[in-house]
Amino acid sequence: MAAKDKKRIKRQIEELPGPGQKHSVIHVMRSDAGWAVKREGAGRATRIFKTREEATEAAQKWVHESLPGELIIHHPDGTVQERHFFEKAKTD
Amino acid sequence: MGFEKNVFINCPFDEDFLPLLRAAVFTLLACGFTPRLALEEQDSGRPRLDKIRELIQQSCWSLHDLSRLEDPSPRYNMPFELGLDLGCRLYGSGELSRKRCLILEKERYRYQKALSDISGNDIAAHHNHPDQLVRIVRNWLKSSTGRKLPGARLLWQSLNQFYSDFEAILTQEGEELDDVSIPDFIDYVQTWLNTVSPELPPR
Repeated sequence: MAAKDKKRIKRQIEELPGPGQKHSVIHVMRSDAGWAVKREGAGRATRIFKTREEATEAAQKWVHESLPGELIIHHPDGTVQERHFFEKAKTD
Repeated sequence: MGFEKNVFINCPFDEDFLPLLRAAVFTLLACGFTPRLALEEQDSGRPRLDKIRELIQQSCWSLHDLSRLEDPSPRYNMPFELGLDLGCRLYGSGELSRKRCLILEKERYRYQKALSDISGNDIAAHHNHPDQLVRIVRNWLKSSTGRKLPGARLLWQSLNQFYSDFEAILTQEGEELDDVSIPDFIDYVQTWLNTVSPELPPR
């Protein structure tokens, strides 16, 4: 990767929104007891499920409680498998 | 760079091992330590052994991964560098005698078949799971240093959050995580920890 590309990526990391400045983000990730659902920036609050499917189902409900929101499902190694963005429904 | 904060990482650098290596690097940085690897000096014509010797001498701590000893192409560099590190502690004086290492394996007690001389050292099995590696490395640093460190669960959740932030940026740039070298990865993680990480305490 070229040096100017690296600088640009670093700048984008530095410009990421801080805590409380982002839309609601829910993560589904591996945990020592199964699969965890965690709201980004919500301290230790997590819910644990036996399978990723159960965790994803619960996370989908959770993300719809505070739209706009993002659901991020992680691979077991922590990298991102799927990312879904949900907008607020438009009202006339 | 500070001897007390340097952690020499002796592990395979192949694609299969990258998720574990990235997890180890993230944990060390988030706990306030400095990962040191042979990869950090890419453009030097110096013999590799010289670099390894220097890294070992400059690092109070080290992680040695022996989980690839029985692969189709076993890596003998790892036990060799573990031997150099243990020798440095045994024969060295002053700060070198304070050196400590953690030996990592895929399964518990598997190393004993191949390398029984190292019984009695700190050895732990990560079962090829990055979340377990995060816990092992964090707990070892905690018990070895007595320092207040972020909990293993918080570290793992933060690594997942880092990946989601970082991969979104890489996608915009048309890049992929596997194209990012480990020295660059270290730089990006450090930047993220300094500017974004909302839940980790300051390092």
